[in-house]
Amino acid sequence: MTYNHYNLQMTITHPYHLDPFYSNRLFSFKVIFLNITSRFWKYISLNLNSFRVGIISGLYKDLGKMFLMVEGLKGILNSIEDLSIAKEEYIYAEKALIKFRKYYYLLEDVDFLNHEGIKDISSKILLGLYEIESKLKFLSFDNPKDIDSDKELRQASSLISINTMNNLHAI
Amino acid sequence: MPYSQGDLILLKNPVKLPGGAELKHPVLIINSKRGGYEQYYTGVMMTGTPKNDRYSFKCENQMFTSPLGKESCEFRTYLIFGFNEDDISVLKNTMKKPHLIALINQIKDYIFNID
Repeated sequence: MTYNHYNLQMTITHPYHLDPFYSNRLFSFKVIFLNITSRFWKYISLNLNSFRVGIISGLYKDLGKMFLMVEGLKGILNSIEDLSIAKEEYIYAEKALIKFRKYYYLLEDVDFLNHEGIKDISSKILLGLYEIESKLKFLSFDNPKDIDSDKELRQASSLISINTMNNLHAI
Repeated sequence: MPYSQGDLILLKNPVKLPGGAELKHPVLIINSKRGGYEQYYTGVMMTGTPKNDRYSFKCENQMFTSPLGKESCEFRTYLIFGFNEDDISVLKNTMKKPHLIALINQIKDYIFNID
């Protein structure tokens, strides 16, 4: 089997992963453009407001579609029973979370362009991606074998809690 | 001073372990019960030793109102304990809301199994 044939077969048998990002939406361009221009927009005298508003509107639509995809992905999470699939998909889910978090920070940096809708939907997408990532993480990793390495921390937690409970009873 | 959910604090007295070693780990307040005899908080412990397992929640500087000052930190989601307001030494940082909600959801779903 040639590399191309193998590649094609992989594409056919694995048409998607748990990744809500599209490659053709210029999503990153819009976020980075808006992050940079928001800092000095009020100093620009050119009448480019309609251009900027258009990009904000496009970004809002992209986020809306991404939100629907994330909700859809959350819906199929419970059907994943095969551990090997969970492990494979965890890599994509973690990457998607890290990637979206970067965009979220850029939007947060400019106060979500003073757009309540963008703020709301970005937070919902972020929470959805966290949910997908944590579910797959839980499925992918066994119980930690080196849990004894946390022995000191566990001891500390127990001691603090016991001391607190003793103090409460003493009142 | 009342503390809030999401505050990252240091405890006043480092815990002395039976071996004599002292532990002074940052703790994130995940719940605060108000109106009782005294302020009583529940916290989750942060560590700088990355584990990358099902119980870890990785942190980044941008998740907090100010930088953490450490490259890799994570919360150990099963290391949850209670303490009083008097035990708190200093407020170090505050975790931003969406990340805090995600962390609490992870604790609810996979530590306590609360629907």
